[in-house]
Amino acid sequence: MIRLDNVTKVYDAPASLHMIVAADRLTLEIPAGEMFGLVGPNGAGKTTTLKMVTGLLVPTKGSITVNGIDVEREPEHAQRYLGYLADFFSLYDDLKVWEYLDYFARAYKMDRGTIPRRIDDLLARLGLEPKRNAFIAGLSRGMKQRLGIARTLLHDPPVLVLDEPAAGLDPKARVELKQLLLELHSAGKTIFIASHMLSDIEELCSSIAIMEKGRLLHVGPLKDVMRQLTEARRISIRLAGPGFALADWLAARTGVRDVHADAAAAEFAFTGSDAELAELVRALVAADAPVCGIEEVVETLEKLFSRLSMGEVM
Amino acid sequence: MSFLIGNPELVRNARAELRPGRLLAATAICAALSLAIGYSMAHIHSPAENFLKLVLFAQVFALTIGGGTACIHAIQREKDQNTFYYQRVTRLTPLELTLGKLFGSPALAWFVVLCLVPAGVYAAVVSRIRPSFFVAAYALLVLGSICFHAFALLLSLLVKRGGATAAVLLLLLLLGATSGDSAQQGAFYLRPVSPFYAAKLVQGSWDISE
Repeated sequence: MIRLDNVTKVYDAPASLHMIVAADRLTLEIPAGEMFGLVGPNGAGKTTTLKMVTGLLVPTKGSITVNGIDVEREPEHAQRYLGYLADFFSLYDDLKVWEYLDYFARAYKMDRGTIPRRIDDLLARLGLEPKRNAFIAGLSRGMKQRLGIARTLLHDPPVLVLDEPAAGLDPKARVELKQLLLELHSAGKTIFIASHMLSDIEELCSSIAIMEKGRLLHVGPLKDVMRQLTEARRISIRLAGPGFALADWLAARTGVRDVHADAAAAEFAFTGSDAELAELVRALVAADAPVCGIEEVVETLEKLFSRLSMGEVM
Repeated sequence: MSFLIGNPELVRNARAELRPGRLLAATAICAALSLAIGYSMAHIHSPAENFLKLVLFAQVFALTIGGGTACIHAIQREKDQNTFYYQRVTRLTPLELTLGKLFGSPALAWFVVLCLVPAGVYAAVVSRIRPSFFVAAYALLVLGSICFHAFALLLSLLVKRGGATAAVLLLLLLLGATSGDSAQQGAFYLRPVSPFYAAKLVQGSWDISE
């Protein structure tokens, strides 16, 4: 559905006389119906990438197609398939909620007869019906974000490009947004989402790309990317009390690395198989260690990403 | 014309500009202004002709200063609020956006002009000026103002973010240079086609080479 082929974007930076490569030879394919997450630190090139996908920025090199349509060559045609939500609200404060949606419905050249019903549907779906005649200036942040999403969905595009959609929302609004995105995904929309909320990305997306300094470091299904980033599974062992030199005992075992221990607990990376782990536990119990708990630590995307950005994994 | 009337950008601007409260206030102010000017001119020589000139001046001021400022802010505000991004991802063409802003942003100024038209027509009838001059005066007023608004819109596009004040000052400078009585032709020989010249026209003398 979305295809980036060797896309590069270079900005001029007149003050420093250097070129800034915001996107460096990006090649990516997002199939129809996928919820795809793009993660990376600030300045990684995420917003530039999304803007190029929506046609707001023209790539220096390479091509981007949406539903087979070249975004650069046929921008007006491509817009029929794209809904874009930027990382800022940018609404017309002097319009009423329904007027704002009506404006964009006309701007997307929707059939005039269908516009009122479509606006009614979206206002009801996004809980904006009570605010229909309210001026946008008086809306809360959450309401403004909902209105932005309503605008994105107005012309029923099959592809949604969302840049930090949860930014600045309170926890309740975030939960509602996630629910809405899941509904849209199950309705068959292709969703390309960039976010700092890694827990949300992990919960929502089936595939991700990790971007840094304009380059895609890892791309693929979420589980595969996490497996690539996780060199060894992490195991946590808890003892009933202090008195056993757990750290020293573990450090002497094969397959055990990166031990972090305190008086009665330890966490370590283990490269062996399940059988080897079972053997390790058996040996620990045989050594009279008062083992009262053992579990595999579930690595979250957030933890992996913070380790990645500290250079622990690449 | 239907292309213009159905223009979403024009509709948006008109909705934002022409709220009922504003329309009511503009109508009341125009009515009061017309009555006050009419009353004050009742005892001078050829009052109707002078009244017409003043009405035309008021309309020109509304269009050039009010409408011009609105046009300056039209694109500047989009830049400041980042709303341009969302317009660009719609299917609106650049021509539709331009026409929508050109005629929609100064909608309130055009409404003020409309409110003053009855006073102008009344004065024209009483002063018995030639209808062709009266129509020509309004044609010049409308066309001159559209050109002026187009220039303001261009300034709005070219001036960097936050530069609206400088653009308004530049616009006022151009207005002064093309409207004063002191310079025969005005700056760039534009005075004979300046909207201010509409007032001169109703006196029955106008020559492009003047």
